[in-house]
Amino acid sequence: MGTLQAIPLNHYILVSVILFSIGVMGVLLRRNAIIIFMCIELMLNAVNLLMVAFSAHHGDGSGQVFVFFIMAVAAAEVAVGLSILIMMHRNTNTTDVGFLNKLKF
Amino acid sequence: MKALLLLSGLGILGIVSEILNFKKYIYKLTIVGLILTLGITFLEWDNPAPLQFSNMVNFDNLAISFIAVLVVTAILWFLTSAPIFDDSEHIADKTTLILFALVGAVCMVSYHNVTMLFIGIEILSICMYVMAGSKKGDLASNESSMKYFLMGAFATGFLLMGIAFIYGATATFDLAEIKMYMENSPEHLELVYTGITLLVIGLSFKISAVPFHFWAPDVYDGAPIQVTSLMSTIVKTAAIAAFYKLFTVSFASQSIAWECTLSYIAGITIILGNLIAVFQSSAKRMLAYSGISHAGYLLLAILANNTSGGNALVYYTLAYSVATIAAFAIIALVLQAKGDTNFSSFEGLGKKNPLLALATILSMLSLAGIPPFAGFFGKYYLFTSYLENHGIGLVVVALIGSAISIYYYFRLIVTMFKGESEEVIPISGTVKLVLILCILITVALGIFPELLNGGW
Amino acid sequence: METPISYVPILIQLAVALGFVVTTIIATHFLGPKRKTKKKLDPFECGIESSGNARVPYSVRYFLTAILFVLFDVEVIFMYPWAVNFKALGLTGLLEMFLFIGLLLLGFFYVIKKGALKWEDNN
Repeated sequence: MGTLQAIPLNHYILVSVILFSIGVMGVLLRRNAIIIFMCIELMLNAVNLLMVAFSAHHGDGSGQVFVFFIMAVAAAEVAVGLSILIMMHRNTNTTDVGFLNKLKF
Repeated sequence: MKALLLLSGLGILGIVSEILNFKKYIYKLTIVGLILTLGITFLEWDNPAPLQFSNMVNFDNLAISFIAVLVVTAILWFLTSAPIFDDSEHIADKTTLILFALVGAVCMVSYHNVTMLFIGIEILSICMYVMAGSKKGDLASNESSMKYFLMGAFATGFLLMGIAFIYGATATFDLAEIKMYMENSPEHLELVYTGITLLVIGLSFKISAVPFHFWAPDVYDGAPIQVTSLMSTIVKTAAIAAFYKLFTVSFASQSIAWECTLSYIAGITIILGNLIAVFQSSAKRMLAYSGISHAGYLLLAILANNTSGGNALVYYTLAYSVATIAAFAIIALVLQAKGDTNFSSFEGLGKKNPLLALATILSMLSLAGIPPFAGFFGKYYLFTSYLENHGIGLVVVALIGSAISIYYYFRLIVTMFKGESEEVIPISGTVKLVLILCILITVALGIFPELLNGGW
Repeated sequence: METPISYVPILIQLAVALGFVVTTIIATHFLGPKRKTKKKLDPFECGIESSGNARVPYSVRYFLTAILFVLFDVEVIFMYPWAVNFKALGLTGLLEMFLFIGLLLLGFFYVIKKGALKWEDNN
C-alpha cells in the first residue's frame, strides 16, 4: 500500500475513465483538427493518471516509468501531428477536418 | 538483438550521412546493410538466452522468423521503390524514416515487456505518418497522412488504456509475469476483462480489422504508392505479430474474454473486406480492401491460440508480403506509364509485357490462395492450426471469403489480356530482379511448403 | 477509508487556488487608481502606436522552432529518474546517458543541417 491511499483507488479509476471518455467523445464529435489533437492528449493524460494511481497503489515504480515514455512519445506525436497540420493548412487554408473528403469509399 | 542494433545503427548512419554530406550513397549502403542484417539475424537462431536488455526483448525463434520476414520484405521494397528516392534533397530523410520504421517493427515482433510494445508501435507509426504525407503538395497525400495520424493516435489511446487496466490488475508489464497472473485465477477480473477488450480495440485499429477499418482504404489510397506497399506489408506483419504475441502468450488462459469478440471481428473482416473489394474500380484501392480481408485471415492464427498458429502466421505473412510487394510494384509501373491505377489502364498489357503479366498472374493467384502457390499453403496452415481446437464455422466463412476474392483477383488478370495495347512498359533492372525474386519465392514456397513450416 | 474526509486536502488546495485569484482581482480593483483617458484605454505595444490586425498568419518559422523546442524539451524528463538514481546506476548509467544525449545532439545537428533554424532567406 502506498501513501496516497487516503482516497480510494476506485475514485482514481472513475476520474480517469471519465476523462478518457470526454477525450473519445471530443475526437468523434469535433471538427477542428487542433481540438481533436487536444482531445487525444486528454485521452493520453487520463491513461497517465490511471498508471500513476495504480503505480502508487501497487508500490511499483514501473508504471511511473511507463508514464515518462507516454509523455515523451506524446510530444513526438504532437510534433509530427502539428507539422502535418501546417502542411495541410498551407494547401487548404483551413484546419477543419471536413475538407478531408477527397478520397471516398 | 544484433538485428535490432544493426538496424538502429543504419538509421543513425542515415542521419549522419545528411550531416556529413554523403547522402547520395545512403540508398546503396542501406541495401547492403539490410542484407547484412538478414544474415546476422539467422546467426541468433536457437539462441540459448533469448531474453535480453533486462527482459525487455525476447529474441526467440518465432521473433527471429518474423524479423527475417520483415527484413526480406524491406529489401524487396527498397529495390522496387527507387522512384521515391530520386528526389535528392530528401533521400536521407526518407531512408532514415523507413529504417526507423523497421526498427519499430522489430521491437513489435520481439518485445517481452508491454513498454517495448508501445514504443515499437509508436516508432513505427510516427515514421509512417510522415511517409504517408511525403508528397507535400498533393492534397490526397496530405489527407491520407492526416487521417492516418488522427486514427493512429486515437487507437494508441485505447491501447494505452488497455495496458493501464492490465497493469492495474497485475502490477507488472512483463509478458511472462502477466501470463503467470492470468493462469493463477486472477482476483481483479473486471480490470482484466476491460483491459483485454480495450487492447482488442486498439490492436484491431492497427491491423485495420472491420469495424475499425474505415481509415485504411482512404489512407492506402492517398499515400504515395510505394508507401502504401510498405503499409500493407511491413506494418501489417508487425502489428499482427504483436497482436499474436500479446494474446497467445499473456492472455491465452483468459481466452474466454476475447475469443468470441475476435471470432466475430475476423469473420466480418473477411466477408466485408472481400465484398467491398469486388466493387472497386482502382487496382490500388482494390488491394487496400484485399489487405483488410487478409487481416481477417491472419486473426485466425490468434484465435487458434497454439504454436502452430505462430508458424502459420510466419508463413502467411511472408507469402502475403512477397505477393503484395510484387503487385504494388506492377501497379506503380502502370501508374508511371498511364497516370492512374484504374483497371482500364491495365487493358492489353499482358500481351506485350510477359514478365509483368507473369508476375501479376502469380501474385494474384497467390493472394487468392490458389494451389500450388505460397498463398494457398499460407491459408491451409492457418486453417489447420485453427481447426486444432475449434469448430469449422469460421473456416467456412473464410473459405466463402476466399471464393469471393478469386473474382476480383482474376478480374485484374483478365483485364491484362483483354483488349489491345501495343504499349511496352519499361521496367528498370532492379524492379525486374524483384519481380523475378517474388515469382521464385512464391513458387518455391508453394512447391516446398515444408521449407518454412519446420520445427520451431 | 471511503469517507469524504479524504478529499479535504484537495478541497483546501482548490480553495487556496481560487481564493488567491479572486482576492487579487478584487484587491487590484479597489487598490489601483483609475484614470480613464483615451490614451490609457488604447491597446499599446511598448509605447508604439498599434497598427493593423493582430490575427495575421505567422511565419511558419515560429511553428518550426516551437515544435522543435517541444521535442527537445520533453526529452529532459528522462534525466530526472537518472539523476535521482545517479549513484546507483554508476558508470554504466553515465555512459548510457552520454549515448542518449549524443543521439539527441545528432538530431540537433540534423536540424541545423536541414536549415530548419535559419531565419534569413525566408520563403
